[in-house]
Amino acid sequence: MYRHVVLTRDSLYRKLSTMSEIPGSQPDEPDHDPPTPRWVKAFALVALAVGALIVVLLATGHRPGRHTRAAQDGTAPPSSITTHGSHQP
Amino acid sequence: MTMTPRLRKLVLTGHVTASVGWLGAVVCFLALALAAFTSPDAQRLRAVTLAMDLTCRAVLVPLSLASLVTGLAQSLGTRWGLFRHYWIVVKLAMNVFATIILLIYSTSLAQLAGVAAQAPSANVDLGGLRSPSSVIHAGGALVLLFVAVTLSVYKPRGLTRYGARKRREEQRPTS
Repeated sequence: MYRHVVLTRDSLYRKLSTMSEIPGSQPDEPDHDPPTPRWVKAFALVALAVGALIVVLLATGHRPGRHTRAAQDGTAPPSSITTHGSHQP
Repeated sequence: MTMTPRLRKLVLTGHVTASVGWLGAVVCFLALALAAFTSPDAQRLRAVTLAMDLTCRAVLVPLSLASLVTGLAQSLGTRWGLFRHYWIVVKLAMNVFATIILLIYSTSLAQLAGVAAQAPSANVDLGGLRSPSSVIHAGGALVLLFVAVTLSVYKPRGLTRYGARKRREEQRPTS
């Protein structure tokens, strides 16, 4: 008794797409370096923007622990929360 | 060094568990941060700040380090490599960035928890605990981790120069 494996068009496509994710299973590539994909360039731009934002924040005095020190020193801006558990008007 | 299939699956399971667990923990932390930021009640503010500190030290930091270590092992121990595919390089950069920010932020949060843990009789202004910083950090982490999960699932194509060179070397017939 033989066990038949039927490859439908969909299952064949699925198998091929799975194979293409395995390193080394893609067809031969030319000798020159591949171009940088567009999505990588987009990610690089976002990373640059985030880096610039961090630099600007640090330059304007937003250092880690700024709020903490203010809370510990009692120099935090006046708030409506007291230690006695109620919201003051 | 290439891992055996059994070890590779074990490490992959650990990596997925740690990474997705980190994402879930960040969602919980964001809920706490929003509660702290919007709560007018001092008792609740103290409790939430202490819970955030505990969550950070006992859940977020260990999961982020576990995600980083298992991710490194997974890429170095398989043919995927660490610097061959752009999506792996991008994920590594995001993971390292998020872990560094988390470690820096955890020290700030520990100091805030110290303020929150002071005796209620102490004359302390708790306004500093209501900073939007926690919400911003947690929101940023959530976006970052969601992008990382998306990259892992879709695995967008793209070989780095190093990856292309390695592939050419592997495909070159040995004489």
